Amino acid sequence: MHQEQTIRDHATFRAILQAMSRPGTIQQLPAGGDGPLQTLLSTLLDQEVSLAGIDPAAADLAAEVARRTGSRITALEQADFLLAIGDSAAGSLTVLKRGSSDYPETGATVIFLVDGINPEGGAYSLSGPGIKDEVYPEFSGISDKVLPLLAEVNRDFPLGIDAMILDRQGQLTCIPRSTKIGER
Amino acid sequence: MGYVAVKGGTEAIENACRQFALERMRGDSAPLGVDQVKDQLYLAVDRVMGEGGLYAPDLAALAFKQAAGDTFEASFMLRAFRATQPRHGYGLPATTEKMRIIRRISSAFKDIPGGQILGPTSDYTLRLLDFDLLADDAARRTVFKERIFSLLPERADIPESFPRVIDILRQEGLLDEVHRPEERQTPPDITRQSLTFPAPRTAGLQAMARGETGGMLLLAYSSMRGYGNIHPTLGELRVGYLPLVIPHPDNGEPYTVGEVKVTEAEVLARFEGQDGMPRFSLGYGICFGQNEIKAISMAVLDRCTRAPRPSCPAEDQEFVLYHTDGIEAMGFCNHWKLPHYVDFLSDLDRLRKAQEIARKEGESC
Amino acid sequence: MLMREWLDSDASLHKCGYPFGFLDDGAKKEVRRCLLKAIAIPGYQVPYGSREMPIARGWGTGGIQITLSLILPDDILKVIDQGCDGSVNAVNIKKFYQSVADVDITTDTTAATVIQTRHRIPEEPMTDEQILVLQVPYPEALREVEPSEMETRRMHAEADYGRMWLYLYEDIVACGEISISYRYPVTVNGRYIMDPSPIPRWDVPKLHMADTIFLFGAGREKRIYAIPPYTRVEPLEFDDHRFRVEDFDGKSCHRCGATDTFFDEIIDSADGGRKYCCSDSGYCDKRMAAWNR
Repeated sequence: MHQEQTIRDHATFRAILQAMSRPGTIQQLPAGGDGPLQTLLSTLLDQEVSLAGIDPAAADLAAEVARRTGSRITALEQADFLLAIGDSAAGSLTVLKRGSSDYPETGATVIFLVDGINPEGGAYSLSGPGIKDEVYPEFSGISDKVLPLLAEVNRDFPLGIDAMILDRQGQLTCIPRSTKIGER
Repeated sequence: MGYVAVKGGTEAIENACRQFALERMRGDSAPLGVDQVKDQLYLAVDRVMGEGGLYAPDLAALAFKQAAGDTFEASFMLRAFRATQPRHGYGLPATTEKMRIIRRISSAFKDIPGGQILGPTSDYTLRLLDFDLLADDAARRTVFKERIFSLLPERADIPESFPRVIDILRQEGLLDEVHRPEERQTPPDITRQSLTFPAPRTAGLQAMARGETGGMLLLAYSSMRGYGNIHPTLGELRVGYLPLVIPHPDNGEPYTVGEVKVTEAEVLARFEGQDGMPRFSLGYGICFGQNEIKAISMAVLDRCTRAPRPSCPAEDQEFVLYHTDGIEAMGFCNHWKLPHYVDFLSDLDRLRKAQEIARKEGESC
Repeated sequence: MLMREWLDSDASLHKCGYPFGFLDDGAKKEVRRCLLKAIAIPGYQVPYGSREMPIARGWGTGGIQITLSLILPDDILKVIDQGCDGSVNAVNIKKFYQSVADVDITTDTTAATVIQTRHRIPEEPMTDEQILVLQVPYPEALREVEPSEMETRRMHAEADYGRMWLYLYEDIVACGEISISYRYPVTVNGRYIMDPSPIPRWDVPKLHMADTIFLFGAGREKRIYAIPPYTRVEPLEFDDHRFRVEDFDGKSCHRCGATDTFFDEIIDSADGGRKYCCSDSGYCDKRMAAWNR
């Protein structure tokens, strides 16, 4: 592995760590490499984890990512990481792994590819660990149903799934299972 | 002030490191070659490879030399090196029937198919200091070798493979062979996932294969002696070279890349089956190199930790697996040499407060 | 010491063929995945593989693996041991980082981007741009009351913490107050009881609703856990027996004169007298410098 790539992975992870630690904030992934999704996943995925695409378009993308990172393609219900593009994804969230009460960390991580992220103007409020008061990020190109469904699958904390929302410009926002999602 | 001085610590530390390197060079003896360590101290090298979890005789010999003969340190260096190496693939499951045997004994039967092969061992020697070795040199070695080879027969037929003693008992229905479904699954990799309990047997065996010989002997011995009730019969002990086969990266066909020296032990212990039928259950041990104490201890502990109701330390899987890793244990033991003055001050604060409370209560009584 | 290091002053490990950040890619990815889950489930201990490091188990290998999986060449790193930048282990770890990641080192808390620490949290408040990595010997807060991992895991799963509270109650009955000195257990985000590592009680309040990310690594015990910023971290206490930090009433640092920091107690010569100095050596030096200016 080239050192340049290694250092970019480190920088990418720092952005992801900040995004997961401060839900609702927007972090910028480093430019370069093969686009934001590859940049994000090349820091996290290898042959130890499994991957699935939630919708048909995402399934093709997942196959491509799996080929590059060595991760295994599996069924939705078993996947550690999931990719979702567009509107059709929301319904599937309910079948994903949420972990067990002994090992809640085995819950899935879902990456939603969206058109854009705004720090303000969202219809839902986010609060909880990592958020000082409340934040209201707005995502374009994602179904309205996603956030309420996320709240629904994450109602039994510490069981749940963790969401990463990535836009075309490499902006990243995370909503871990610890985040409370409320109507504004 | 060198220990935790606010300033000047760096230099003191560097000097300590240099002095350690210098100690190895004391005296006028010739520098020890890594090849000498590998050839002549091969049991130490075997032990280091086993506990370090990496089959690399040259590197293990180097580590042993660098650690000035400390097996804990040497195994530790080997494991640290291992942790930096990428994983290129996985070997195919191997059976020891195909092993190139150098030693093979059974204490369960007098005669076994393929025969007992005593091989290289110190078991039958008198443990007297051999003062002749003080004058060890190439000429004497040549004479010794010539004499040995002159006593050998022209040719001896060695079987292609050796049937396992255990299989004979298996055919007779004397073994308890209830496999849990998990044993059929792909084994977890304990170097990638930390142990979780109850650990599947495959994970326990992996952990013990890297375990520290002395620690495993201690626990196995406690069970043999009376803290537990495993009185093992050694079904078979094998030492030899096991072919290492991987799927060929191009076509997936089995491809032999080399062989590794291993010691394998199978012990038998009697128990009452769930259906009321008495049977033997098996304990299994295997490790890199020739390390018979470790392989037998491992087999005993494998059997012990499958006891349905643990009644002593050697039967408690968590206890055994958490406390037999030499590298973890030595690191933590050594860490008590680090400063602990913040913790100690906090302790002092609590103790003074507790004494104050005790004194007040004493006065008020 | 490697022969080469001594004979060749420019022989960093990084240049000897080890990758940037020393660990292989697979090890870093695993640590990163665990860190993200740890952040998502504050106070929960995520099991991980934990590779052997060239530094012994128990000497900070958990913290080191975390730092190595996120360090950047332009980071400014501070490493402290018991509050001190010059302590043996801190020096050793810093040498390692410099040789595998080319980072700059500081003793100034406010200048650092990443701080790795054993048993202390710096006195100066940390910001939202900094990360504190804590080295952890015993990740399990319940180990004091239950030796079995299987059982403590069940207790966490069911939030069944009755035995921990009973332990504290019995402690009060025996000692008059809670006698836990360091490693004081806390409840994180109202859910998990967590071991904050062997920091003194003095440092525990700094974890509550902080601006900073706290990452905890236990290499030997193979656990990673975390406290995100702005997270409730509450020491276990009773209404009539409150949590209290160490008492330094009437004491001051013999070097910088501070009266509001955690002190080391120093036995002053043979007469058994005591004096005190700041445990946070970087902070103490800074105060001294300002004072001399």
